[in-house]
Amino acid sequence: MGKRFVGDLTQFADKMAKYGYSGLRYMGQRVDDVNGPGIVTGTADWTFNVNLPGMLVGKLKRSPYAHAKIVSIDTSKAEKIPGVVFVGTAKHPMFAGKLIFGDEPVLCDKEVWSNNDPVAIVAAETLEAADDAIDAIDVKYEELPVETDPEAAASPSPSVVQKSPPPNKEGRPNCFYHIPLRYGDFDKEMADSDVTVELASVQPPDPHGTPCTMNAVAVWNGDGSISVWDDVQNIHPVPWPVIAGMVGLPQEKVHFHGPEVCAGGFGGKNAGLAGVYAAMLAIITQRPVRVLYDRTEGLLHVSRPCWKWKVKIGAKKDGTLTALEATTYIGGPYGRFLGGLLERARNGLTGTYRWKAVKYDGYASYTNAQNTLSYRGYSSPETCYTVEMAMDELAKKLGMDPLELRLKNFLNEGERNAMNEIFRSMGSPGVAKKIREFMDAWGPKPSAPDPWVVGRGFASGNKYTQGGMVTNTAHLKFKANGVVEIITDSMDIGTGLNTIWRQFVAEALNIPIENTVKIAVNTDYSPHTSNSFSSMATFHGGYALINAATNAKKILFENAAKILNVKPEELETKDGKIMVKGKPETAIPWSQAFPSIPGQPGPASEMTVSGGIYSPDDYLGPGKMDPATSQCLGPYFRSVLFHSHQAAAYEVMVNKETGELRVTKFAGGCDLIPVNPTNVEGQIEGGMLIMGLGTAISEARYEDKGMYLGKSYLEWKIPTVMDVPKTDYVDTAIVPVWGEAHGDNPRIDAPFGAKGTAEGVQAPSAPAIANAVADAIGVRLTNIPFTPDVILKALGKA
Amino acid sequence: MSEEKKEVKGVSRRTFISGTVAGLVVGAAAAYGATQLAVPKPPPAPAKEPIKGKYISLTVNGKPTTLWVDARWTLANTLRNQLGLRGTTKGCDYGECGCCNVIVDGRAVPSCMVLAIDADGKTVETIEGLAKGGKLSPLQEAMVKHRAFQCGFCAPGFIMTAKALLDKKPRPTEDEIREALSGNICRCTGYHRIVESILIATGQKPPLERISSGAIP
Ligand code: FES
Ligand code: FES
Repeated sequence: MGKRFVGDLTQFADKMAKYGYSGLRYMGQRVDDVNGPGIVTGTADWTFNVNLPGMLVGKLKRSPYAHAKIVSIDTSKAEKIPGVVFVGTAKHPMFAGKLIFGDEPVLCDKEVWSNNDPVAIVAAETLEAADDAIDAIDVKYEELPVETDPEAAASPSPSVVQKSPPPNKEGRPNCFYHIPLRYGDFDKEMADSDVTVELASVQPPDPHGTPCTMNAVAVWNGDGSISVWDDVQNIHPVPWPVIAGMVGLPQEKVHFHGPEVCAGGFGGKNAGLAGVYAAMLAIITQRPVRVLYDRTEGLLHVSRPCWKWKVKIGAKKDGTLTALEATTYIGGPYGRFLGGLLERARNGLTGTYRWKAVKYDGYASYTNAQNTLSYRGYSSPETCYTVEMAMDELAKKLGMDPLELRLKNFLNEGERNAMNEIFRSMGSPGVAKKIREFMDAWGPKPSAPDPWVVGRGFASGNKYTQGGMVTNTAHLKFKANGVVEIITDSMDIGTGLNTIWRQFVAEALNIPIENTVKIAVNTDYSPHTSNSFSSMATFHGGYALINAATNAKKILFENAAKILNVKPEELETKDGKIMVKGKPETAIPWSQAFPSIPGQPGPASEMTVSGGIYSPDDYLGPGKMDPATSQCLGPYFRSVLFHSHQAAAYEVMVNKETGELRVTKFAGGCDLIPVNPTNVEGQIEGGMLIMGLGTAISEARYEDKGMYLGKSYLEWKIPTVMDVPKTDYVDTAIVPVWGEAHGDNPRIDAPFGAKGTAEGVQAPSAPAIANAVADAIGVRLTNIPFTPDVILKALGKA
Repeated sequence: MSEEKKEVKGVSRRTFISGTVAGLVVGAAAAYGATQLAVPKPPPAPAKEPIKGKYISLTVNGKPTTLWVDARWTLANTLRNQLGLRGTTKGCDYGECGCCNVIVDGRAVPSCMVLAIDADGKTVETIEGLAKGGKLSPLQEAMVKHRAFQCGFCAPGFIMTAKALLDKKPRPTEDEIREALSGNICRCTGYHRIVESILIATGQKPPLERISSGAIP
């Protein structure tokens, strides 16, 4: 049996007591996933299963070219196909607008910039009729030159100038975003280094690849409003306003239903695009419409962008790190979330390790590569990948143990990093040591029969969650029968949020978890609590819920104090009853302490209480950032909500004749207080055994002139069960660290100390595998994935 | 169906399905010919129009069912849209992901790759048939307790594939489990807990410790 380590949480009891916490009743416990029975019976309320009578099928016609002029679009044949209800192009006013950040047509009419751009849309009675209509739409294109390399596109004299007028950031025609960071005396520190390592890497676009693609259902209501069911990760900040804005309705007229569980997100379901098209078709046809992206659309429509990195690091003879220089290029046909990626990459570079000087430049440019969307980690896997490989090379040059080198340079709790942020909740050393312990327990490296060779590799990781984009409000409805309803807008995307919410509330109110209910998400009544992106949901939502519970207890205790003739401070609550501390015989049920309605006898039959905080200053501290140097100004300001750290180790076997790569052993961990250890372990396993592993070993994207191979799971290979180590060789570690959000500003701690983890767990995965491969074959490969052809080439055999 | 998909896959759903329908017509003609050997006759003229659909009878989760199906419908879509069995999910519609796996005559098959007309006379088991009287099967139970799935979209396919294996082999080895599940794709879990739950359900590994109080190990 693989090892499962969860550190002792009792050490934080005093800090938890601050929240009126009485014991580890539900916090840190392996509570069964509330979605489980629905999932294993196939009855979970996925948007995919929403079915309305008379529902039409909506489908998009997409461009086969990566860059082309649209000469003509003829829809006449498609319109005549029996069962076709509507065929639209950008000529229709509904589809003439621009999506998301204003640079992306809803339907292209003059030019396409990526090989999957939508050019026409169809609504039909059946899937067959919709397919026939899509085929029958005749689009004539004139191909234009293509550039997919984000570095070449960012040059001051690129071969293709993508847009007119060009964004022309700092004299680079295609570049629309540049993020610099300057810290310390870079030239001096680099020159003073005894040893330096330089490394470059390319990480290709990689889709989210969830089996359930983007999908939505929309219906036109007689009162001029629409109802939308969309398989999304967040509701309030992006999909809801985007859909309302695109169809020209006020938000109140868009009744938005979230699924009970979003069928896999990883960043790919943040934009609500299927919902936009479904809503538009529903308004035009005045019928219910489903838009479901097919497998090819699911793999080609969105991905992380291609990342190109150049990194140089320096150190003293004793292993003390000196300077870090990093340049990165990313690109895509439209801006989408690319700018933010470069900002977060800056946080990743300055986290984990102590640098004396840092020089970083990140550029985002328009290219004709595959379209992009936020992707698990939002730059942390891509940033850590290059730095962690360089760290291993540095250790080799210095003749140091890779772990020793890292331990020497990890930032300390409370230290200021190269962005002048106070660094908190630093668990890197603990996690790294634990993972090393697991590696040592694997015993000496086994010898493998020729031509197989064995290697082991280790890497650290980090993820810094950005604050903001939340209103951070949650409601609790107390009912007379002792049940508490949890009303939030946060989507469980498989991370276990529906269970985590109940654990928070049951713990904070000291009631049986069975007495809590998470209410379905609907914009008609759900407040904006938190988003299931950037690993922030537990942090924001947990805080809001604990705060609501605290507010509710205050009201209940004040009212009960009058009934029991004591002071509110003398009261405690357990299992839905209020009593004088230590005197269970005085207990009265909560319902007697509900507020009363003036003029009516007795308490009201239910009570709803809200909680949360409303100012970004509470999280991020007053202050700002200097845009020229990325230095945080003001004593407490920081650009991120919380810091989180991870580590991973892999053992691999490589066949020197065939280039085959097998992953035989794995250990991975992260630094946090787990609300539910089973969920956290699930994230570690999923992040490191599927997504991280896949990007490193198999998820290749072959591209020719912006046309991508990888339109199906057969061409774009994600790991299967055959590619992961056997169950006896999967070790996980949860090393508890109090999730202090805010350094010396005492206002905000994380809820019960918990912070997020769902993305960071991918960060150390690919570099650890890269380090293992280097250990096995003695050659450093830096461009992922390490497919057999790449390995053979490195060995001079292909 | 977009142009590019046709190009790469070489065959679109409609080409594939009309090919199958033609094959079905030819196959029927050959069978007809075989029974008529004693009286040689010219083979019947090929049908001008491929058949549009037909009535099929099949047993779904133990219940005999007869319904008319369009010749282009897959078993997956028929289960979902005609029989209202929406537990069978679909992640690709091309036999690549295993989400839609159901058990047909004892074998786990991707129901998106079976035409409904070809399911005539077959016995089909779907995820809806597992929990009896509101009680989860031991396999489902272990999968909930051990948190085998996250978003769960792949779960029905994994569970039916595992059930087909356990029906034949009640205590499969880990290698046999991996082999059986190798055609199922999950993007969330890393497969680890799916395999472990099956080992737990078959009594080959101890269950994970659940709610405990105080410090956790
Ligand atoms: S939907 Fe049938 S195998 Fe993917
Ligand atoms: S649990 Fe999400 S795809 Fe398997």
